[in-house]
Amino acid sequence: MPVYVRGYGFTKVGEHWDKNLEDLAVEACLNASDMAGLSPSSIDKIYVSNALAQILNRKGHLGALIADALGIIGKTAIRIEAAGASGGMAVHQAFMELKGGTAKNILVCGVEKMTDTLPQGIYTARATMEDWPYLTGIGATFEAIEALLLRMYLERYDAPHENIMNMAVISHKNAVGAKHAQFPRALSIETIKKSPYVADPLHLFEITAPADGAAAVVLSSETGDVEIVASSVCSDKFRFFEREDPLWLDSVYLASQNAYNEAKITHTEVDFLEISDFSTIMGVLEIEALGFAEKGTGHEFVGKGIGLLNSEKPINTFGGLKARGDPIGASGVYQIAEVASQLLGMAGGNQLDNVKTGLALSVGGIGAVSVVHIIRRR
Amino acid sequence: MMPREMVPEYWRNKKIYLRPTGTICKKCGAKYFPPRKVCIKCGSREMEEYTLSEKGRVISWTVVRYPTEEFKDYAPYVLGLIELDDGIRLVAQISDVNLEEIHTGMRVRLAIRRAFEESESGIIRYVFKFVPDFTEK
Repeated sequence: MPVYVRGYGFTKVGEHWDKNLEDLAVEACLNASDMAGLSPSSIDKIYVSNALAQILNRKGHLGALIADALGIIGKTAIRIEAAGASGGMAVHQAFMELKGGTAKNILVCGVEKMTDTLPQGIYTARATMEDWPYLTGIGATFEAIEALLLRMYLERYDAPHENIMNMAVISHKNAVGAKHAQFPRALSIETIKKSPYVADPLHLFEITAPADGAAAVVLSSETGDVEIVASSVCSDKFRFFEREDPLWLDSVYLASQNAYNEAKITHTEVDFLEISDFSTIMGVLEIEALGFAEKGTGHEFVGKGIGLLNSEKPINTFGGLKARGDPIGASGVYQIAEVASQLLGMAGGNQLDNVKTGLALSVGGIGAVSVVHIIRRR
Repeated sequence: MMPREMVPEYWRNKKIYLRPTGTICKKCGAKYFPPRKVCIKCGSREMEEYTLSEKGRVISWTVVRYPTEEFKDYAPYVLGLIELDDGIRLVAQISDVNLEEIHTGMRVRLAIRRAFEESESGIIRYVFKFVPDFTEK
């Protein structure tokens, strides 16, 4: 069975003081089901992806909770958690079900409500995406691990830090004009350098900010103008320090190689990418593992501006995690919706010319698990 | 996460926190930290305790300025990715060091230090840290 994106919807990413987690999810889901021409009650199954609600919002059991809010009663309702890869993972599960013929129309909703929590609570919650006994419990925050990787990269490859900062510059520039982006404005290297260190040498403006948001897609084996032609999930050693080379994201490499094979393409046939740039250094490492730059040269790739909307390989066409925003468990679903909107010619001021094939990479933790989707216009 | 709920987890791991201990596979000799029940290289379940080297070198480092709740009274503090002389890598805080002297390649040795206090009435957690090793050049 082919798997199509039949409809999508999302909220603006940002601080939604007047909306709770359920409100955000319902808004995105209704937009998606309206576009698909289906009422929520005619959906076969719902998958809800979320990373941190039990800690940040004291809410669990989100499959049934969101299904109820939408009037999806008497159906399969499942919640998926895989840290930053939650969204990609939920899409993968729906994809597998549609391939297997166990459903015809599945609603996938990613949602995260972060800004009710103060920053220290968010750092604490984010750290649960890594190992408690041997990382968090001895003082390593998620951001500190990224900083360790950044320094290692800078020193091993003698890379200018400005090249890596350009990852954030690209995402921000691409977000200008994106109505749903959290930060639809440019960011300069100078501004990044002036921002405080979150963990030296990683600056605060090199990582994502807390955000609220929800995105939804209706995946269907019946009809749709864009097709998901590959969906692959791969894991890696959970703790980054046990990996043979901590600067190589093997889960990204393996998942993307599987996906290229499944789609019967090479990476050169991918017209544009949505990656998980929850920090500048992770974005650079992902570009290398996806095959778009040789190991150790990803910084040169982004340093010369490849990734901008008018460049040879646009990356994060609405701003990515950095500038569109990173409501963690929703981000992977935003990516699918954004790729579909580019392929349908519905990307407004961010529209790319003549694109046929897009790739979405959803990464959990420091690459402990990664999900790659390849989507094509029919 | 409420720290008090983590007391049993600390108690279970206390031996490792006070003297870093991993496992070594009796079949293929692969060494692991943290300990594993199953060798992920050869699949063997015959694993023995293995005491890690006490010395190593810094292969990357950072200064944690925005900590989690448990460490809020201690920031900023130095955190290192350390490669021990037996090849095992781990992450640990680096104590007794100022920012001018820390550098990649710096020799460090094991020390047991306070991690954090859980509350006024809670337990004081101790954990492995590393300090500069001036006993060798």
